[in-house]
Amino acid sequence: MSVEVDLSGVNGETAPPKLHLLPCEIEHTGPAQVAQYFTPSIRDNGQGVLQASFRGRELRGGTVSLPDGYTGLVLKEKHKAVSDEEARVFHAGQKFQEFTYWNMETPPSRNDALQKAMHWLDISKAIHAPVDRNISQNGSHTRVKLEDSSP
Amino acid sequence: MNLCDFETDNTKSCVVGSEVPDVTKGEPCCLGIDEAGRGPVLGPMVYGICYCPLSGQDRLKDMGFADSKTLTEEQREKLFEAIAGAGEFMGWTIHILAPNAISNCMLRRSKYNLNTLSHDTAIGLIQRTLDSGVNLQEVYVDTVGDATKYQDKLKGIFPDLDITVTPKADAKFPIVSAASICAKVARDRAVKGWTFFEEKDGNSISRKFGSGYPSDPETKKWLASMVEPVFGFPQFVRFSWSTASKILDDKAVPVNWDDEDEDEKAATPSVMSFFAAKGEDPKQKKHQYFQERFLHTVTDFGS
Amino acid sequence: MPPRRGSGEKGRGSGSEEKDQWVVVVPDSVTESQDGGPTFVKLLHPKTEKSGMFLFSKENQQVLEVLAFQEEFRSWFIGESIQQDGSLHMVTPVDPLFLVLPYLVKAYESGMYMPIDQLISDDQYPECTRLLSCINTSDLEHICDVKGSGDVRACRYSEERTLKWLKQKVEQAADKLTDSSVKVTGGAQLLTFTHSLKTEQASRDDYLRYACGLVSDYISADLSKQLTQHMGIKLPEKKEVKCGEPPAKKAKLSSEIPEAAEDYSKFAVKDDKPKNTKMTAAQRALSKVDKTGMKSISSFFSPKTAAKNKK
Repeated sequence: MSVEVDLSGVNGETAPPKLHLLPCEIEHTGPAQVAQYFTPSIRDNGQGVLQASFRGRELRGGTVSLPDGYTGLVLKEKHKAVSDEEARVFHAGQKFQEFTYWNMETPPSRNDALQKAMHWLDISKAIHAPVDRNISQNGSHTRVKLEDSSP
Repeated sequence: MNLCDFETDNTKSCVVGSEVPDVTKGEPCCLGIDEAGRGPVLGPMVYGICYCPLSGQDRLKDMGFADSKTLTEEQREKLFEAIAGAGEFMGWTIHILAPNAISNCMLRRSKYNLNTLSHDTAIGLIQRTLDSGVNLQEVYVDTVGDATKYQDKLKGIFPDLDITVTPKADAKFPIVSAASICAKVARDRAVKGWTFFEEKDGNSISRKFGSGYPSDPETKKWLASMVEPVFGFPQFVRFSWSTASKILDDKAVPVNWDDEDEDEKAATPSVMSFFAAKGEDPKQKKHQYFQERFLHTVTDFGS
Repeated sequence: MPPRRGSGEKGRGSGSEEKDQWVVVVPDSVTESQDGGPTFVKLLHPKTEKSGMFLFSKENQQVLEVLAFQEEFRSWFIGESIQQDGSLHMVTPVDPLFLVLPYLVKAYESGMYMPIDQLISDDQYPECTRLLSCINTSDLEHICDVKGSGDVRACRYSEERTLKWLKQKVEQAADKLTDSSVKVTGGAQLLTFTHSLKTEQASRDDYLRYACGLVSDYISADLSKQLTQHMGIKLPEKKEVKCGEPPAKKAKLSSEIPEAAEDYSKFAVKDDKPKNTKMTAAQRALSKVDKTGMKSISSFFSPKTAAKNKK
């Protein structure tokens, strides 16, 4: 099964959706009145820590900017494939460059799993970037010297 | 009484007070503390203090203070006008605890109960009065809880003050009665002038919420009609009151937090999956680096 | 995807008729071309030997891996909607050589030199042929002996070359971990607490061992074992699990779970965030009284995380 990604909506006119990663599991998928009930409760303490409430609980949050070279997309499947054979298509919406994540009353910190996980975007490069050929083969094989092929 | 600050942002608590009369900085003073709106499931809880020179006790009695609960709203407003008009000899301060702040405190992972919140607010108000230069000597506090314990706690913090904590203090001491009027007037005004930020884009919210007491049928009806399946209630409601949370258990989408107690969790299979996972193939286990960051290999886009 | 918790009992809201949304982070290059977008496909994961989700950029120029940040108790607000599954998908380039290695190793049994397009084919994962366009033919020499030239090149897996190549990967990764101050000894990286902890300076060996573990997440257990030996990485008996599982593979599972768990407990205790663990009320109470109590709790944690990978 493969899933094609339709990028035609990526550079649309509409603003990217506001994304909030909450510290609770809401047993619901679908529309919600976020702008009425949640967004107006957000306060900025001026030191980079945001405060809001959800269901009476105090939340503390922060904005995460994606590192340079990375783009965020929200993918939607507009039509469910009826059979296994039918190709699935995800439609990408407007790109985003940041999102907000919320903890319970603990202010966000770089020890949060999320912030640490974001570093994977950088760490992974060291594992997956091509290695330098010359060192690798130690001259054991005739080969033209290539430029550093890391991106 | 200018509640502008609170009305601008009613998600946060707020302190409002009169000027400090010069006479209270010199002459020894008494101070009364009372609260309003502790019981209701709606709106803010307000702490009020009032203080004046000990020598002004007779004048205080003449002003006709009584337990604010036995007075009509109109009488209370009039008495508050009298307090405000006696600004050269009486001072007052109110601390409005936003319903959202109350919910936040009570629902915190490290629980912070209403009594502690009440005590801390009262202590804060006494300290604030001392800091503003008032020559405090006697403090009278109304309480619903254990008066002796509370009194000992306050004496421990303010050893130089003569502190009396007693139930029904607002009926016994005119200065407490004056404080209770300040608190009650502020609570009434805050409730009446409540701005629902949830009322946006044509989303209108009924004001027929009754007295706000959980036992009031009108309040109950209003609560039931207000339920938003995801967000629950407007922030005017104290989510931490069992009346409110029971309605949400019944009518709103379930929301799971990681600090919920075990009977909530027992309903889910996840606890058992800890044990089931023991015989797992080590090949499927990712390196510590990934585990610590909750990073998993995606195998499918489920739906 | 991990099994979602809690959706059964109350039955409300899981909303299978609602449209799912996925929040993904991708390299800019993936979104640059809009005609003929990228495609997610399943490929054989070289470590798990099960399927994993990968993304091929337009015209199969690049292959990327899909990991998901899946912390418990997370949901998304996406604009004016809610997505119950709070996963954040991170799509990062993966070295395609890792993905072709299992095929080369398998073919090596025959001892024959074969054209690469014959080597990379799999009835179970037919999309694997896309890998051919991601690989620079000369890069194959990192892992193969190559005969012939141009279109008539034939390859055969070379253990010697592969180990040299992997060694460099490990060294690259170790450098990166060092530069990024990733905590590779004991528990997790905890910058705010470092002043109060005894500053144990991680050695080059510590970084290499950890990096070897990371790289081992992309190779078979056997190869990981060879790599560890090749690099002379000393794995203390109980540390073996960290650097790929091969040496511990035949060990009792019971001896390996507490090890991983121990690391976690350090993490959990230092971080002092109960949200990372799932505890009963009684356990939580215990952990408040005496934080060493979390060690026993942590034993729940590691297998749980593993369980997520399982599905």
